Amino acid sequence: MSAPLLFVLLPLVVAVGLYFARARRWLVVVLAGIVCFSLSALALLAPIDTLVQIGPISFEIPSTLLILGRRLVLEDGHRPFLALIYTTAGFWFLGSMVARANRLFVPMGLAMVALLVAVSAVEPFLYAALLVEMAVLVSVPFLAPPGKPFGQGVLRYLIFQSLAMPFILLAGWSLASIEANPSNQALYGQAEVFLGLGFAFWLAVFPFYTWIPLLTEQSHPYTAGFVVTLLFSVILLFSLNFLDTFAWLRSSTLLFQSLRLVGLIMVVTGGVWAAFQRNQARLMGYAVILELGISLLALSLGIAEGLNLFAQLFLPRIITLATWALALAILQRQPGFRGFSDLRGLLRRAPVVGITWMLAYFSLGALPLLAGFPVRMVVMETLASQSIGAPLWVMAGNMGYLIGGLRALALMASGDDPWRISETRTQIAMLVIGALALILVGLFPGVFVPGMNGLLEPFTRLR
Amino acid sequence: MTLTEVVSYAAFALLLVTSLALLLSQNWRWSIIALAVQYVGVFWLVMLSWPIGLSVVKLVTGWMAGALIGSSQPAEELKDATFSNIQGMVFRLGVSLVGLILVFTTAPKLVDWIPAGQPVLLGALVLLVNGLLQLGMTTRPLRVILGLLTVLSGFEILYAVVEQSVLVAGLSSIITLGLALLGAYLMAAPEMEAEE
Amino acid sequence: MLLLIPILLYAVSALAIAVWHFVRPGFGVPWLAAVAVTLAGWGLMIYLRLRVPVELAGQMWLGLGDAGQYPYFVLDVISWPYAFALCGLALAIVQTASARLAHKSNPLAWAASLALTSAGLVAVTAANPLTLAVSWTMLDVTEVVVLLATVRKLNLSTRVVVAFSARVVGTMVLVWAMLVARSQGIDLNFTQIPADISLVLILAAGLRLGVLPLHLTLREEIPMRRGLGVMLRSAAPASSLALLARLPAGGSDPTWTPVFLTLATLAVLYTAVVWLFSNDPLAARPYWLIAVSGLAVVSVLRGQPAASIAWGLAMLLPGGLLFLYSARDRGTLFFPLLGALGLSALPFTPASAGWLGLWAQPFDPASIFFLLAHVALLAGYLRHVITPGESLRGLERWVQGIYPFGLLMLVVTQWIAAWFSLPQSFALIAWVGVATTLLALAALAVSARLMRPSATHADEEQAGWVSIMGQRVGRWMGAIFRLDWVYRLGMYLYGGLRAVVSFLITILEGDGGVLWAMVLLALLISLLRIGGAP
Repeated sequence: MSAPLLFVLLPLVVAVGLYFARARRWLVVVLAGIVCFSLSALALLAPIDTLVQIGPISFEIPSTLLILGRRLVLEDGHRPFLALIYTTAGFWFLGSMVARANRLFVPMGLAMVALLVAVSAVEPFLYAALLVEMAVLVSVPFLAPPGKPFGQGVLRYLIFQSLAMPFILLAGWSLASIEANPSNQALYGQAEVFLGLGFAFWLAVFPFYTWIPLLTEQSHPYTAGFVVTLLFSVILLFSLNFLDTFAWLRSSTLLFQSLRLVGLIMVVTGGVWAAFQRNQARLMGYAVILELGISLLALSLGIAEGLNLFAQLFLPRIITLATWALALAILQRQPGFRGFSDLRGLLRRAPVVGITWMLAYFSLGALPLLAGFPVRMVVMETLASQSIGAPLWVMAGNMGYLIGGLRALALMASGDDPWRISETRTQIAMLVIGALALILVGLFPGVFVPGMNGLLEPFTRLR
Repeated sequence: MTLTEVVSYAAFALLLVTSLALLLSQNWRWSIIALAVQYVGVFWLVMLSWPIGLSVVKLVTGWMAGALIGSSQPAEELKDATFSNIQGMVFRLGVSLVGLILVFTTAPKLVDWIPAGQPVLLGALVLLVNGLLQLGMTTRPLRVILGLLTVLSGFEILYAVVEQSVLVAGLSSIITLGLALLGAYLMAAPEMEAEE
Repeated sequence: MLLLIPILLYAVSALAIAVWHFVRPGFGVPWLAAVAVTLAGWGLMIYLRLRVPVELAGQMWLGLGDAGQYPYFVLDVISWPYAFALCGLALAIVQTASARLAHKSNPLAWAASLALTSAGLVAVTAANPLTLAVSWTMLDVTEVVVLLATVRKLNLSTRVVVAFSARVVGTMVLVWAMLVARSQGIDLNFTQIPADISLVLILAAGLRLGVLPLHLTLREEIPMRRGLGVMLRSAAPASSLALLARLPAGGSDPTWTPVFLTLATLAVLYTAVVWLFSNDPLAARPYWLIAVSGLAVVSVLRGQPAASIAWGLAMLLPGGLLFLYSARDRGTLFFPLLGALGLSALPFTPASAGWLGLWAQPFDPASIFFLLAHVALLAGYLRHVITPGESLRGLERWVQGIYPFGLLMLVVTQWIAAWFSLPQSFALIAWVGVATTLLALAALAVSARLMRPSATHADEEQAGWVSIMGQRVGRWMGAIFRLDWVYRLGMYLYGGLRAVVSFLITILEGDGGVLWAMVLLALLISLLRIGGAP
């Protein structure tokens, strides 16, 4: 039983089985949760490529699986990543009952997770482009579930993610050509163009991010949140493969300058756009755009200063988006809720979901005390140590984003309804867990966040 | 000019006509036929770089994709509300002609990047451009799928010149079929029974 | 760890009282507990003054590994007076609550006051910008939760969020100060603050106080106006005032200081005048807060941050006394008059050290404005003190004993705080206080005659032309100084920008969005090729 078999093929097989059992929602959710948490525990506890002795039993989990002449490799350094992905997926699937996501979500979501894990495992890593495309195709049915009309968001998502694939594959070919012919300067420019366009589509870099707010608005927020969180997390990590493998990329000034420019554009546009939004679901979309921009800015700080920050951004982002997606899903199911104007008085009608939603919102706005603040603060300080211009723009985008949240808060706080709690106990429990996680990570970042540096273990030349 | 080159240019012309047909057509049957014929052109240009056995995979996959889409009888899905009248068609034709100019100006320069013959580059680029135009001027799921298939076909022609991996061929076939299946699903999904 | 004791004492007791109230509704046990806790906290704070500096450092937080990257609290000669003032206020609120039992004073309100005191202590003792930013947010969130749970009116709830927003902006300005310092290679802490960054910190504090620029987000008062209302209006300003007191002496950036000084002076003058002519001290409380804290800001801008402590204490303690002075009697008049003495800045009184910040040698003509503002503040204070209210005699005997004691504690607190922290108050600095006190008394006499309440519309018509002119001038001043026109302009610009953004979103997310994205990409690529990144 090799690691790829356990962490890629097994979940795929389980996903197929869960698809056929999807009529029994509870069973599907519980099974998916068990599988995910088991894999997560396995990733945390069992070393790969090392003999493990438990009493009389000894076993070893090999790191490699051969498929059609190519390899899937999950080494010991991948364990933190595997633990993070499967823990995230496990919690997300468990919450799907409370969020009332459609029945296709869990089975196809698990398949998507397995394919995304394969992205990190495949060698040569360029084949990852095809695996990402497959993950995107698998995700569409639960973003556009049967029996409901779907909007432009899903189509736009499909278009832009599909357009990325050719560029990444061509980039792979260009990079291989450079290895064969390093003196040909034209190849460097070619590779940079293909790589840049590929990641621009993948990471929804401006102006290709219009699908994110459309998707969060038109699809179920819980499933949309799942897709944007996991997909971007994996792609961001995957991008480090290029830096790890190609020394000339690590020393490319143009690359880091471009990352800085693009990151700033995303932060500013995401934040400013959020200031004028009148749709609670679209606000999540702009928050994702802003957060992606911050990740790119962290990467633009360079290998020495920015890489750890880049990795540390993962935990607060995942916790915040998960909490946000859940809160939004519950919020939109409140009786009589049709749109933004129905937020009026929500704090009195459903205080738990209202407060949790606001905590998640302001966490991504880097309000002190919450999970998003510590790492964002260090990113901004490091940017400031290089130049004051970039943090100025980041603050501008951040203020715009906060304005959007404060407008929503003002609306939720208005009204003279009597105080009452309309959420169910399960909803309250899950929301409180999310809210507490946001506050704990915000108050004690030194305890929770540095562990994310483990995500960088597979990238030996970057450490 | 050798026979191969003549046929290759003919393949390019075929791709031009079929991609235009996909862009302009309001009839799903003609669109599926155009898609199928388009894959013949793709097959020919890919065959210039790959062994015939591998190239046939492209053709078969493309036809299967067409069949999948056709099986969902997407009569209403093809009609584009915005551009269904004569002015819309003229507009699309005009934009496509501009795209064609772009193709002819870009192809000679592209040979520095991708060492392929002119027909291959022209064929690939015309599919890429017309496919992108299709994607940019529609909101209908079927047209989006057709546009994506067109764009990916163009890319596959280019990529075949530089990469000859069986695994890549297999995976891209899976993706082609997956897109077609997704297209059929998206057309049927709103009418299906809800699964809450 | 010593510092944790008062913070936890207030926090835990707040929780305990709230839980007790839900389990066993009643006033007796919670009130006694609250009195015991606040008395213990007050006494503990005096003990801690003898042990300063008392430090509390947290674990390495995150980041660059510098000293500024971990939470750090310190009770020192600067933060102690404000911490002590908060403890004094908490004690007075609970003790005087006995007189307000018929006016919605209840254990939940006392618990909220204690919680705010705890949060206020955390914020006041924050000893580096990072800790202060987190503490401010904690305080703001506590405050907004308490307010939203209390208010019922539609527009007031919105106002609460607007006030919260203003505080958040102030916190963001503090974060900006940290970034500016970092760009200069400085790890910002409160022991060494460069002049240009000092100004940013003044702006941050000024925003949170409502002084720079002048904004009155909570003009309308909350339902629980005394008691909890006093702590709500004191905890957050105390933390901002503590920051001001930490700024370096000698002034800040010479380019922008005159601008800030002008804005602060206008804010002080306007709000002091409104305070003077208002009829209800509680309704005019926001003006009081801005006027007196404005004097503290002015002191800092003029290079005398130590003097700001005098005005800060005057705002909190005599101000708190006046706002807690609900049951009025001839016998109890003595205590608010003592409060007025604490405000008067006469020689050898607690606030007289404040003149170091307002009355410079050689004579500066601008000082006249501050003198006038002080006159207005003191006259208004005296006017409100002598205004009749409900009688103490109608209340139970034990209340008649405890209630004045609560008021007295505020006077005692101010004098003790000044004794320890403002030694200059007890040395002869300037006789200006005598002049302002005499002028205030004269102004009191004049305003009492001009602003006598009119019973009917006919009486109003017979009011003197000075009164009518005063009201018109007041309205005109209000229209300008309140900066409402700036905020309306801001809303107008917001509306315009929203139209532009909506248009862009429609283009990018509309039917042709994919093509537009390609066009923008081409534009971006050409920009990259021309200019490069910042």
